[in-house]
Amino acid sequence: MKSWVSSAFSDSAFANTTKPTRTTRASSQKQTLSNLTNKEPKAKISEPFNSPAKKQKENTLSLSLKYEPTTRADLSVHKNKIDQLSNLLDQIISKERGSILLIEGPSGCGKYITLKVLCKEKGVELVEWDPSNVNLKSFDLQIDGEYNEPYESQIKNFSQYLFKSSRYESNQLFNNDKSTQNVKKVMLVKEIPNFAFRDPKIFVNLLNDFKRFSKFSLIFSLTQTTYSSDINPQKIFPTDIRKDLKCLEISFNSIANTFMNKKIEKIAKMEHFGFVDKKFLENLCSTSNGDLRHAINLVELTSTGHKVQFTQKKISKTKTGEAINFDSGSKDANYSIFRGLGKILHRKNVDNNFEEFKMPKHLVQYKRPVLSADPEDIYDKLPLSSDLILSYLHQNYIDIFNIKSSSSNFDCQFEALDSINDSFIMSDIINKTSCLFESGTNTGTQEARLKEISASISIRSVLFNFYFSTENESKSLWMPLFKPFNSKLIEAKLKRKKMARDFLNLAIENNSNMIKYLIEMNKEFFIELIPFVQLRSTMRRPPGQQRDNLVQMMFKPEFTQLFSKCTKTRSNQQQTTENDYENQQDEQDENVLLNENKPYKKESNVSNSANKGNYEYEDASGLKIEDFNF
Amino acid sequence: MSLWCDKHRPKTLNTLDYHKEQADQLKKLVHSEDFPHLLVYGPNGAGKKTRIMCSLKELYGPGVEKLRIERQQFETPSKKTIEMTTLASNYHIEINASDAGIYDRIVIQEMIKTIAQTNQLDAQTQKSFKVIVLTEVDKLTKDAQHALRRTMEKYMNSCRLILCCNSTSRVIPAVRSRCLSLRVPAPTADQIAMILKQTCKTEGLNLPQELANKIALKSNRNLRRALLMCETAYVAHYPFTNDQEISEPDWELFLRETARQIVQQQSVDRIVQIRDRLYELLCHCIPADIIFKGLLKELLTICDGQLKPQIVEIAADMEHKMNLGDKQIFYLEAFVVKFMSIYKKHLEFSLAGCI
Amino acid sequence: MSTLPWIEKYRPKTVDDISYQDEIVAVLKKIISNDTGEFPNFLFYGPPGTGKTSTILAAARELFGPELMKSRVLELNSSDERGINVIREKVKTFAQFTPSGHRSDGKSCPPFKIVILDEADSMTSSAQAALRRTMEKESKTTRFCLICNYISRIIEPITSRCSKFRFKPLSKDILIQRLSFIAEKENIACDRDTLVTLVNCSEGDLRKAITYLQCASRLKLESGCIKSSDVLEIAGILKDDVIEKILDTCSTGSFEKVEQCVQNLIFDGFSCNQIVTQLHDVLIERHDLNDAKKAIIFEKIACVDNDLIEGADEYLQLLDLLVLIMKQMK
Repeated sequence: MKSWVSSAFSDSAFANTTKPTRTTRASSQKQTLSNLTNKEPKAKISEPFNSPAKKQKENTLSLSLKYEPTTRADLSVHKNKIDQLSNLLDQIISKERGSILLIEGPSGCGKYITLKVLCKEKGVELVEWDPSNVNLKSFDLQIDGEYNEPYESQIKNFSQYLFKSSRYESNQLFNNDKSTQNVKKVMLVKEIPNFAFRDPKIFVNLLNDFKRFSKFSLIFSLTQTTYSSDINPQKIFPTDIRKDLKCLEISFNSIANTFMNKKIEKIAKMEHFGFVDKKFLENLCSTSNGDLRHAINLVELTSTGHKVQFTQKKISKTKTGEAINFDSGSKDANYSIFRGLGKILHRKNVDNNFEEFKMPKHLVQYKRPVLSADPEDIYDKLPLSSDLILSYLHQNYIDIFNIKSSSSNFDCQFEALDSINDSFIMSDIINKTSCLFESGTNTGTQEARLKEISASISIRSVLFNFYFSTENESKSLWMPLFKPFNSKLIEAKLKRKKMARDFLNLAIENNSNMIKYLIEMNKEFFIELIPFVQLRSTMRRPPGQQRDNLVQMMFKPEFTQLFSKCTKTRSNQQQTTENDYENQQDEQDENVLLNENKPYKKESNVSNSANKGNYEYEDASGLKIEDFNF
Repeated sequence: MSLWCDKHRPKTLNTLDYHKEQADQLKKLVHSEDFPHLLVYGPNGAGKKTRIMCSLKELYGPGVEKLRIERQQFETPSKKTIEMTTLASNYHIEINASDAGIYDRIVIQEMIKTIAQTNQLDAQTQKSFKVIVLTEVDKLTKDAQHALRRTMEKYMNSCRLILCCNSTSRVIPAVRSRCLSLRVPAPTADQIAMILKQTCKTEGLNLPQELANKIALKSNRNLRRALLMCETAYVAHYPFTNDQEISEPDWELFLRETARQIVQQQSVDRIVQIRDRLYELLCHCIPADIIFKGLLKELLTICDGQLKPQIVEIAADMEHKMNLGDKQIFYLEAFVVKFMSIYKKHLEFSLAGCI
Repeated sequence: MSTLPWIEKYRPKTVDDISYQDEIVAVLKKIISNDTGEFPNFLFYGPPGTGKTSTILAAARELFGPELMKSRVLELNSSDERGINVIREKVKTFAQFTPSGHRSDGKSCPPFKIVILDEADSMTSSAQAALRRTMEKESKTTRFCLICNYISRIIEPITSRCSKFRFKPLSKDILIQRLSFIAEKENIACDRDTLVTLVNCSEGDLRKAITYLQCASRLKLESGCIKSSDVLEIAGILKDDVIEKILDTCSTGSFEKVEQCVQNLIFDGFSCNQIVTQLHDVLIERHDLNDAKKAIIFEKIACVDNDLIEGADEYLQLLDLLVLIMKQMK
């Protein structure tokens, strides 16, 4: 180890190692990059490298690769995390059978690098799967330009990768080369192959086989996203699959600001960018959001090509000067749902540009100040699909509109509401139409395009119509956002239908003629039958008459929800039939039905609800709409 | 143990109470040499299913009444399995294919193929074909209807289809041309009253004429509903009195109250409340188009004559769009908002006019 | 045991029997007698019930003889699977059989096969694109005949590869002739009036007319004579006085009455499409409405028709339409 480190300090070693790294960058990343530059503040030694000619050569290597750490000490990851990963690695290397390790963490937090460094430490070879190495011959080019999807070849490719290592092993048995025999291998998958998203079953089966047959271990490096998109790696490894496969897990956190600052200062020193401005560092840290790779790239961006960089003052100027434009280079920080919706529902304007824009006379009422956030941008960053955005907006717009319009004396309330509703409808129809496109290669983009348009319509409509006079704009009013009720609605309906089916089955067992309704379990059943049967339950029985079997069945606990009434009328009904309950059973049921008749909470002020933690709103079907206050 | 509407359902074509000519025609058809494919259509509660069962009994005898529930599984090209419940006797099978959603075509094709390929065991007395009853044909997708058409032609020999729907508009002409259409109109209020009296008589109860007429009127020419109302009235209060209250389904009362609330106040707060009420109705599996129609009806009774055409237009427009879209609550709410906005303007206008 | 539907029973078996489509009959006869194998790809289009399928089937029968027909003719309908794969697989395999040039009864027959694609306008454009390639490749051994209602739905590369023939809607005389022929054969008594009603109901579609005739005869087995009213009932057509009544209600200008009228129509179970079509036919003739009003009404009728097809509720659409008519009639 020591010799390896010390060689980095010698000039010749450095000069030699630049060249191979340049060429190996293009090929697979199996080659481990040796330590390139010194990190010790012995800048004086590296001075000779700062002559312009040689600097040109160095500039062809990207900073993030150049300053890749090769020892534990160089890593910007927390020590405990490194130890944790080290232990896990020891664990899986020592095992005989294949095991699977999942490393999760946001992008640029050091998963791959830490792994590399540790593997080097332990003398373990890291074998990576390269998805770009696809066999083009497997494409079946046919007439009209249509060809079969190559996903089979990717499966083959992947399974070859998984299992060839075991084949190698057998080869090595005959190969008595000790040096290669003792080298342990660990396999790494950085990108999950696409077929795993299409056919997760095949993928899981492959992994199961791997576990059974392979002698090596497999590491997945999963980048966490908050996207609910289709290619979210979290989808591939839900908890039950993790249990089945007995995966080991470790999750990395994003890199702390202190580490980031240290590293950047080091790099700056090494590259002679001069003294780094504190404010610049702050901006850098906030924009990259714990992604060190991104931060280093930004540093590189802001420092390209100017000889001016060598001087102190000018550097800081250029750096601070460019600090304002960070939006252009900023990371695609995804908005959390709350933030994104907040941007739409609480419109922010760029104050100064209002006056410049002149509208023709007949359109003056449509004049709006310039937005500070671009609507399409919001859509891109929101981790929601367009129909979910629509549902969220629809669920929440009315409350916020209510508060804002009442506080700012908004005149044309209904016009605005009308317009918003119209655009919601348009959005919804476009969404529905986009789903009708077959998910093929050509039409996939059409579907995406339509969804974009639909989201654009709904977002812009809300932004346009939420135009309240700025004077009374309340500052940072706490308004809770609710989850759309639609999914609960679907659940509730299905539940009801299932209950209805059970009820019918029970009725049929008890020799009823209701067998016909099993087939017609729709309109008539719910519109007519259920309400009327339920009415009978509330009726006073003529004296001496036993309660109907049918009605008796109704009171079984499984069916109370099926026969629950629409809430508001309960107060009317109860007045006439309260006196009619004789048995305790009746009273019990009465209580069950009464409990559902809670007063409507939302009539109270919103400010009250703001103070509550988990605000629950019950609907009569007994389900609760859970909202999360961000 | 059963409801009156099921207990007293006529079982033979002879015992049908109204549309007797049609019953005669059906009888002739059954006894003729070739029984065609049938398309029975008409409003709810008019007696379509009753007539179909009666015809089946006429065709096959009492064996048709021994029904059993079967659950069948179908596999779609996308490897999804759908489970369908069917009602079958030895001679026929009844299925609601629109339950399968977008996979109804597969269900129909598979079902008919299997039925058509198994021959009648008892060939001597019985007919050489089996009958497949498809309900809610107007909810089938166009694909399914095209598939239906083809299978109808192919398997004419071994099975006959009886299709049942509310209206033929959504049945493609190709299917219509292959069937004999039978229109079953809704019974008149008088006919309903007569049936109610008869039923009560069979039950040993005495139903005064006035009450019978009342129920018949309130039932909206829907015989099933009339019988349910009558039965509920019996449970509520017997002996019957003429001024007895006839109960309505709770969701209708709820809807009425909702309409009243809409007209009472037009504000954003009110919209929030209405939205919750609409969700409540949807949760109870009340179909959205029924909500539309009910709401419209109630609003029209309350609001001013001048506005009526406009409101009708809006309602028709929204309801039509609802069929194109996905989430029904959007359209219901949009209708409410539009109504409120028109109504409010109208109120302000008329107030201003008065001053 | 069960009788064949009359449309199958009385389908023309030879090209000569086909009524009224002179052009195509002439061309086909020439091809059949000529025997040089000059059989182009055909594209038959036109309204339904005019004899497109019958024509090609009759031609195939004449060319190949009834025995060979089954092996030489492949019929693909829109209800069958007709995706791209099927086009490739099925048609390819079918086309690969090399047909001989001789028939079993000695006559020579052209050495190719026919693929009939019925309802070609419901094929997706990608299936059609795949088809065009196959048409070219297999042109030596296979000829295609596409049948559709609207030629605009067929992609241009295919229409350019085919000889197009338009089938005209049949004239009333021809229809009456054919119907009386069938009625005689089946021993159905029906007077001239009934036949005229039949023809009016069927809109130039012979298949429809024959089906109605068959249905009517089934319902009236014992009484024998079929009346006009029976035909109307089968076709689901409303009587004229019902339509008149509707329009009278509209002219009263009372909203409640119109509402009640719509309610009754729905209760009677009539198809809304049918009502709208009939209203349209009657309204065109009326003199008490000027052109501007008629224009507004007909625009609404078009919208309502479209909405109904898309699945809208009948009651609301009909109410909307009648309210508009009421407004225009004021």
